[in-house]
Amino acid sequence: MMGWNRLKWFFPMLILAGAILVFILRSSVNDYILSIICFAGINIILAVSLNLTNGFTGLFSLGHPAFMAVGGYVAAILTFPVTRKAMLLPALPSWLAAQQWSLLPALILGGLCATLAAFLIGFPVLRLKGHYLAVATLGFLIILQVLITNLESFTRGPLGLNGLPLLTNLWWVYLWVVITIYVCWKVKHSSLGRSMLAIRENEMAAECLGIPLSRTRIMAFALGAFFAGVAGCLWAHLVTAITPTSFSVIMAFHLVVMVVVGGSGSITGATIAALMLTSVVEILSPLEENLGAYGISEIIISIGLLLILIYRPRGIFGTQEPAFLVKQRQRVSGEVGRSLSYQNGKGGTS
Amino acid sequence: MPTENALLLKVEGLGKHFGGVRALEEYNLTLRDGELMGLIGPNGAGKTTVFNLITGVIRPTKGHVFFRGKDITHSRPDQNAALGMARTFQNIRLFKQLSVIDNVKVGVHMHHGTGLWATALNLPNLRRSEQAIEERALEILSAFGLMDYKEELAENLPYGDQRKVELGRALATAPRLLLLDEPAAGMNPQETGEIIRLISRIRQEYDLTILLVEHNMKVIMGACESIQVIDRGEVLCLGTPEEIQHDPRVIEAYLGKPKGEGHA
Repeated sequence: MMGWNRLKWFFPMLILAGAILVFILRSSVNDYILSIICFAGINIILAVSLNLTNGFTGLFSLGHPAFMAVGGYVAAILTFPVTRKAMLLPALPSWLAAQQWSLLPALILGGLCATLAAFLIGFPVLRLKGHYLAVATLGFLIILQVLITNLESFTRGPLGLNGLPLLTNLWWVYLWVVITIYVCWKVKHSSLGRSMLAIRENEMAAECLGIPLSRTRIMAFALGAFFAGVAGCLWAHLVTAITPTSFSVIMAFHLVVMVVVGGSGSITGATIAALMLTSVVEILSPLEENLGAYGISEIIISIGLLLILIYRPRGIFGTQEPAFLVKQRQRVSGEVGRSLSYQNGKGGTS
Repeated sequence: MPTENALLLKVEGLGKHFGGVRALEEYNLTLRDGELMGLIGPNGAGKTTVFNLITGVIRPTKGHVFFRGKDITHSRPDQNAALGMARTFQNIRLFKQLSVIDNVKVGVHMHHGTGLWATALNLPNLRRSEQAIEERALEILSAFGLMDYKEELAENLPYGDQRKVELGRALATAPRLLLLDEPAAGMNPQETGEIIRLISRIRQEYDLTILLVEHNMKVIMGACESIQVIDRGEVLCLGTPEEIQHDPRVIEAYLGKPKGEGHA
């Protein structure tokens, strides 16, 4: 019981500590490092939400960048200053050209559009499994890129939209990191999350226990897509530009690496892996430029992935969260139950 | 006595063809409330196909299945589970990476689980639902003597206990009809005895109707009141354990024809 009480305060304290850290960072660190920290945060949102689809439910999706693109473009068109819109996107319908939204509603609508896209492609695609699903979602990513390139009146085609207002700051990123982790944590440690994990572990058994396969799958897919859409908006308003190639297959690869390295199904794992990977890329990119050895970070990430797959095939954390974060109450009562039922032994069953 | 009870499951003229292979032909079955029927037959007779067809895991080529008065021929497994049908599998299908208690909790989800909104927004009914699920799961675990392994990953359990977890998980769905696919497969005599006692105990405590596939004759003869024999996808006969043991067709199906009669 004490453990439970301690835990009740642990998460609010952690959120508060994070907020203080954000405050300190924003007043002490320069803009460049601040933007890297924002990227790390966006990667956490992406990795944790992809974990919902790939890790919990076992749907190997490579389509996350596609949902980012949907969210990013929707939000970008909405937040774009009216004057710039008139200049860059003259063909835009007048009702859309008159809009100039602030960040939060644009983020939410972007996320919802990504969710809608997930529903639309989810119904046909989620019938597939394993690598078939991976290929299908990859196909969706490429189709979407082509679509964006050709919808010139909305997206300016391959030129993309640049000069977006720099609306994303560390506070916004932090808010959404907290929301994403909170929602995913709640889902994982609830009946709904258990039924997702059950589908991952054994589809047929889960279905025979009354878990509707397609509904649960689509729910996981769409929820993951919502956060990907939000992350896409944050990304676009941090980089202040968005093009059809912003959200690429390489990005899908990086996100999957984060989930695999962290451990499929582990929220803590995905968070740590996202932080690790972002720092590795940022540390190595000056090295790449100095040595003229472009692509070396990809090689190092790939080698790191191979090593983890060989020595810890289930990732750093497996499906688990670190023990001190999970309800202590359960473990204590588990031990009491253990000593009691040992005395009854097998007699208890006959 | 069982014949007086209400009809629970009725299977009519069920057939399943896999391409050119006729796995099941004209299969009929009637189960009444409270019955415990055994289903036996040589390897490849179609026993597991019967289970998969009844639960909706695969769709029949022809015929009908009625459960509690409803035509469930084309229902999905989760719909059938909601109607009160639960099963275990020949090759145990536990959620290996989940703890024992979580395995059982998945079975309770259907009755007490909350949807996405309640879960994500942490609505008050989330806590209530989690409590109800936990209570029910603990009830099952203690009834099965599995409290010992509560937080253990299912894959780490000894084989016999994995069978028990699977059975407990099926019972967590609060079924009316329980389909057991070789519950004693791979168990030693002591464990087999234990599983027979367990089955008859849960049958009374949970007021179940059971259809039991088993190779182990000790289990079948010891537990069942009536037995249906199938061979090569067709029903051979139906009767009490004594009748079955002396039926020449059954002996032929299992041992082949005596020398001098028919083909070698």
